[in-house]
Formats: sequence, C-alpha cells, structure tokens
Amino acid sequence: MNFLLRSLAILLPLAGLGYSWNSTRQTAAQGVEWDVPVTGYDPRDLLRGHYVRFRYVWPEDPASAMSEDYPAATRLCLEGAAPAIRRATRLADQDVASHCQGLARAPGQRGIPPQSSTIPRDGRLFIPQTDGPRLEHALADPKQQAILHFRLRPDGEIIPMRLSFQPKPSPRP
Amino acid sequence: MAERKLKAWVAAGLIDAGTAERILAWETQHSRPVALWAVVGLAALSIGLGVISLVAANWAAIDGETRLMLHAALMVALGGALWSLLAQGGERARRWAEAGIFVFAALGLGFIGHLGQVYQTSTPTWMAIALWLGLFAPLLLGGGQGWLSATMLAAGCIALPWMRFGDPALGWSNGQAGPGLIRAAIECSAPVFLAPLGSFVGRASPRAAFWERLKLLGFGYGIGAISLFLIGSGFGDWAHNDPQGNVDTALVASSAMLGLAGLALWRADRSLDGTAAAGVFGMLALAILGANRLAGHGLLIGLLFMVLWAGLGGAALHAQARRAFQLAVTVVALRLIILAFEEAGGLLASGIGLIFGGVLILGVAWGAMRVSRHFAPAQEKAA
Repeated sequence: MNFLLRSLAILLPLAGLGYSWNSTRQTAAQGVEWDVPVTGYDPRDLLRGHYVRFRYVWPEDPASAMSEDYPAATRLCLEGAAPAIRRATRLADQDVASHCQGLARAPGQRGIPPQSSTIPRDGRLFIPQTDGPRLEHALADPKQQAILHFRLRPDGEIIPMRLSFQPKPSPRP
Repeated sequence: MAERKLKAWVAAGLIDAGTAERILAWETQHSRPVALWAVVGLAALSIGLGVISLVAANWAAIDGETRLMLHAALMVALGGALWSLLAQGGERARRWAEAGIFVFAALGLGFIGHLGQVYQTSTPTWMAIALWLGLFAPLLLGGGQGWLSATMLAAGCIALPWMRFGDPALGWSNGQAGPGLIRAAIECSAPVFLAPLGSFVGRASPRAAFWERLKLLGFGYGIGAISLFLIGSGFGDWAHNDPQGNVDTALVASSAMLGLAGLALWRADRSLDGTAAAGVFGMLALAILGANRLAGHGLLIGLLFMVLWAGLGGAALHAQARRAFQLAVTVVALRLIILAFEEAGGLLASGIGLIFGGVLILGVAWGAMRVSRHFAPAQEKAA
C-alpha cells in the first residue's frame, strides 16, 4: 500500500471511533435525571452476562393504568420535580404534552410499524461483574424496592445509570 | 518426514546420496512455513478473542472512561505498528501485518461494544456492525493478506444484513410480510457480490491469496444460503401470509441479485473456472424461483435440491475441480437417502423396512463412490 492509502486506511477507523466516542459521550450527558421503581424482569433469569434486566413500575394513575392496551400511546409523560416522579401518564402523538416535565419513549417493538415508538416497559443496566450476586440477591428480596436512577435524554431515550434499594412500605391491609 | 523417506530410498538404492542431499536442500529452501502461519494465526485469534472477552468482562475496578482511554491507546499504538508493517514488503512483515490487522479490527469492534457499556446506550447490533464495517473495510480490503482478513470482512458483510433482518424495530421479520421484506432480500443477497469482486480485483493484485479467499467466501455464502433456503422451502409455503405478493417479489429480487453476480463474475473471468462459477450463480438464481413455485411440496423440493447439487457437480466437472465435484456427489447421495426415509416413513418401523433401508443406503453410497471415483477430474486444480 502506498503512503497515502496506508495512512488513510489506518486513520479512518481511529478517527471514526474517536468521533463516535465523543458524540456518544455528549448525548449521554444531556437530559434530566429521574428515579423510578423497577422490578426484576424475570427472577430465574435476572442476570445473564453482566447486566440486570428490569421492568419499570411507572407511578401511573389507576385510570391510566386501566388502559393497558391504549394502542395509540407512543410516549410516557412524566410530571414532578426531578428526580421524583409524581405521576406518569400515557400519551399518543396527538396529545398535548406541554404540562410534562419529561417525555420518555422506547423504540418500536415487534408488531409495530418501523420508526414508531412506544411506552418504555423494560430495560437493562450493564453492571460490574462483581456486583452481580449482590444485586441479584437484593432484587429478589421482597422487603426491598429497587429504584433505578436514569437520565432522560431530550429525544426521550432512557439511559439507566444505577440501581439503589430502599425498604418497601408495608402492604396495607 | 521427508528426510526419513529419503534415507529409506537411499538405503533401497532408488536414489544416490547426492540426489538425496540436493532434494533435501531444495525442500528446505522451498518449504512453506505452514506451521508458522498456523501458529501466528492462532495467536492472533486468541489475542483477538481474549481482548473481546476482557472488554466484555467489565473490569469493575476501573472507571469507565479510563478503560476507554486504555482501549483507545492500545488501538493507536497498534495502528502505528501496522502503519510501518504495511510499508514493508517481506514475507515476515506480511504475516505480522495480517495478524495485526485482525487484532486491530477486533479491538475496533470491541471498542464500539465498550462505548455501549460505558454510556449505557441501547444501539441495535446492526448499527454497531455497520459502523465497524464502514470504518474497517478500507483497511481490510486494502491491507488484508490472507484468510484471516478475508473471513473477517465477509463475516461482517454477511452479519450486517441478517442482523437488520432480525431487528424487531425494523419490522421485517414479523408474521406479516411487509414491503420491507424486498429490501431485506436484496440486502441479504448482496454478500454474494464478494465473489465477482474478488475475481475482478484479484487478477491484477499482488495479494491474490486474499482476493481468492474473498471470492470463495462469497461463492460459498451463495451456495450455503440457497441450499438452506431450499431445505426450508420443503417445510411450508413462504407466502402463506402474504396477500400483497411481497414474498414473491422479494424472492425474484434475490434471484436477480444472484443472476447479476453471475453475470459480473463472467465478465470478470472468462476462463474455465470463471464460466463454471458464473453458471453456478445462474443455477442458484433459478433454484430460488423454482423453490418459490414448489414451496411446501416436500418431494419436489427434495428433487430440486438434488438437481441443483447435480448441477453444481456438473460445474465442478467443467472447472476440473475434483474436491468440489466429490462434495456435490456426496450431498446428492445424502439427500437421496434422506428423501427415501421421508417418503417411505414406514422404513424405520419394521424389520424388513430397516433391512431395506440399510441396503438402500449401501447402494446409494456405493453408487456415489463409483461416480465420485470414475467421473471426478483427475487432478485437483487450485479451486
């Protein structure tokens, strides 16, 4: 390979990865941070590899939660003072969102046309290898509630940041 | 080994000691360091895999950005070493450059995954592969020396469309066959163009081994994918849930891609090998169309499969490729045996059936062996 081609072929991947690093870093730093309770996605398969799978427990109104299959819902409106979510409601594309302090969405899932979005239902958090057993144990503990601290990017994508645990309020009779 | 044989021949009076010495000297000088190549290749593979698993294992103690920094520093250092290695021409430098390119590209793929871990992004896999391919294909194409680079490049080219096909967010592989299926079929057929590419560039390149391997990989992908498609066609109609005829269009598009690849191959290489390879692509293109018409009819699809492989055997005969011919004969024989058991399901249920089945297998195997021995081209040409 001649001098120019050789330099280009080696510099291209290095420059491209550097650019990708920088842009990933910038987008990851944007947004508002929130807390949301989560439950382990599947107790038998909590940790596959070194990440935790979880399901969000959005503090939804009973009325809103009733409409579990509100088909047009494409995003979730978060109200409250960050990081505490007071209320989460499902919104369709045409609904007014001006009262929301945050809008969360997830990329389209199976069975939904491409380029559409949906309510975030589950996610995963990469964790250090050594934290696996501790987190698995804590997630399985019925007396503790797992809280996910996440950053909500302006485009609605959820960036999970860390898991913490707090005692669950005793169930009302 | 050669030395032991030579001593025996000298002892038996077949050659004299002087000849033996000259043979030994010539062999020593012309021996290809196959073992060394293999060791270097294995070492590179093990380093590459090790690096990936090291990244995947999340070195817990180190802060994410520090880890990325270390990873990047490693890549910059390796890039510098590669830059000077690729400038040298010797055999040794080429071997090290090949291993270096492999590790460099593996580190690059690992880096993209590493970014996802540190910043907790949920980018689809196909996007990561597309980015990797875009950044590293020029280096692999321009600096690749042998099978390691060629395989890596071909694996990326094949994985990308299939990952896109499998991504639920793109909605191509849903129960309903949408119009996106046509685009997916074209994308998934595209890697066969590695064959004409390898053939076209390889003739004038000093790195003939790399291009030859790339050509074979594109060729093998086409044959393997269509064979699997034919086997799948035996189980049911692809278009059972397709009122708009998207599956038909997708398969016609796929067939056209294979036909075009065959045409390009024929334009690139008019030799005996080239025309045989172009013919193979033509047969594959026809096989897709045939399988689409016959899908769901197990027996007819089985026959089509055998006709296709008989055709491949014919092409191998035309190109004087002994091993390819023998492979084709073996595949046809195996399919014939499986077909017999499929069509006469009772063969396994009774003693007589079992005996008959065993005799049938022996007969087919014997026939295949005779065909393979008698009609196979005498010598193996470089495939």
